[in-house]
Amino acid sequence: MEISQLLKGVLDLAVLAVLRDEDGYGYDVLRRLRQAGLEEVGDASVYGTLRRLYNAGALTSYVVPSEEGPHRKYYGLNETGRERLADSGKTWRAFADTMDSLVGAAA
Amino acid sequence: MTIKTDPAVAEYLARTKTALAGLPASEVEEIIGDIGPHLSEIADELDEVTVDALSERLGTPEQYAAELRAAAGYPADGPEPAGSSTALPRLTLWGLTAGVFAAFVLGLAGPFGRYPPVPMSVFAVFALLGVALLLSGTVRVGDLYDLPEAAAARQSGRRFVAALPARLVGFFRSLRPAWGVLRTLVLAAALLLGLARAEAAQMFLVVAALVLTLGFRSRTDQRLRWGVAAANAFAIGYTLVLTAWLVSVIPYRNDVYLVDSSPNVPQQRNVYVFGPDGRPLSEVYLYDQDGNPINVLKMSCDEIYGDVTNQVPQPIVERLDTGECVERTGPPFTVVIPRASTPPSVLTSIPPASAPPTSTPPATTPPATSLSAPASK
Repeated sequence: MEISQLLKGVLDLAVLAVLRDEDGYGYDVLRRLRQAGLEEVGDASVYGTLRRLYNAGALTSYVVPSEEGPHRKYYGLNETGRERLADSGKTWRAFADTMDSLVGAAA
Repeated sequence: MTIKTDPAVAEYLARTKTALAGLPASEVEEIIGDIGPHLSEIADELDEVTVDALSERLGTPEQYAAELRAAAGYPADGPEPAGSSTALPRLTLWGLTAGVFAAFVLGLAGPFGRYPPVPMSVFAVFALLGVALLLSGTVRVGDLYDLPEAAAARQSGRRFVAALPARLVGFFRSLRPAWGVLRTLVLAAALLLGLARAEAAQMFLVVAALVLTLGFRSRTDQRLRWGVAAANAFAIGYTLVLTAWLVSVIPYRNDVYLVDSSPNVPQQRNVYVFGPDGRPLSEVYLYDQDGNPINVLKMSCDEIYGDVTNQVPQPIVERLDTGECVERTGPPFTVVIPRASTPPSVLTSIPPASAPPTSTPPATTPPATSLSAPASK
C-alpha cells in the first residue's frame, strides 16, 4: 500500500504534532516530518496543509526578520490547534489500535 | 527585506503565482511568502540554478501549485465550480454576521426600548437561516472558514492586532475572564429589566444567550461560537447605552429637582401654571433664586427615562391597552383664582396701591386681607 495514500488522511495530524513543542517555518516542518520517517511527504502538500490549518484557525503565524537570509514565517499551534491535535490524536489512536488488531489477526 | 536574487527562483515563483490564480490575493501572497525562502534555500544547494533544476526537486511550478491547492483544500484551477458549492456557506456566513449585528442593535435598544430605525426583521430572517443551516449540518464550520471573505477578514483582523502594541493586546487578553463575568451580569440585568417590562422577545433571546455562554460546549464547538459572539455584541450594545445614559444624567445631580426625597424612585412631579384669569399657561420655564433651572422629569411617549427639563407643564403620558401611547396636554383640572374679596384660601396678589399694614390702622383693614397669611405661615 502506498504511503502517500495513507499520508493524505493524516497529514493534518502530523503537521499539528510536529508543531506541538516548537513553532516552525515551512521548510522546518517539512524537515521534521522527513526526519521522523515520513520521507514521501511532498513540499507543496506541507505548505498547503499549513495554509489550510491556518485558515481554519488552528495556527498562529508570525514573521521573524533575519539579517542574512530571507525573513521566515513561523507557524505555531494556538488553543484551537491544540484542541484539534488532542482530538485528532485520540481518533488516530483508536483507529490505529483497531487496524492493529485487524492486521494482527491476518499478518 | 527578502533576498530573492536568483532569477530562476523568481521565475519559478512567478509561474507558481500564475498557477494559483483564482485564489484571494492575500492568500497567494502568504503562500509565496512561505515558499519563497524555501526555494532560495534549495537554490543554494544546487550547482546550477535553473527552473528545470528546481522542477526536478519540487515538480514544475504548475504541479507544485496544483498539489498545494489540493492540500490546502482550495478549488482546483479552472472555471469556478457551479455557484452552489459556495452559495450556501456564503449565505450562512452573512446570515450569522447579520445575526451578530442584530444582537448588537438589540443591545443598544435594550435598556430603554428605543429601537434604531434598522430593519431588524430582515436581519433576523437571515440570521435564523444561517443558524438553521449551520446546526443542521448542511453547512460545515470548515466551509465557512474556507470562504475567501472569511479568510480576508481573518487576515485583516490579524494584521490589525499585530499592529497594536503588544502590551495593550496582552492587557486585553488578561481581561478575558473578567469580560465573561461582566457579560453574564449584563445579560442578567437585561433579563430582569425585560421581565419587569414583560418584553417576551428580548427575554427569550437573553435567556438563550445566558444558557449559551454559561454552557459547556461553546469552547470547543465552533458553531456555538457564533452564539457567543452574538451574546457579546448584545452585552456591548447594552452596556454602551447604559453608560451613555449614566454620563448624561450625572451632571444633573446638583440641579434642583421637584422630586420626593426617596433617592431610588424619582416621583413624577408636574407643575401647572395658571394666569390670574384662571387660564393655564402651556409653556413656562422654571428657575430658582440663583438662576438654576428647576427640573421635572420629562414625560413623553418616547421612553426616555431619566431626561429632565425645566419646561412645565409636562404632558401626561397614557399607555392604552391597545399598545398605543397618548400624550395629554393641559391640566386635568381647572382652578378658580380667588379675588381679594373672597375668603383667603389661596394667596392672592395685593395690588401695590394697598399700603403695608404698618401704615394702615388695623381697625380699618378688611379681615380678608391676606397680608396676615404670610405671617401665619
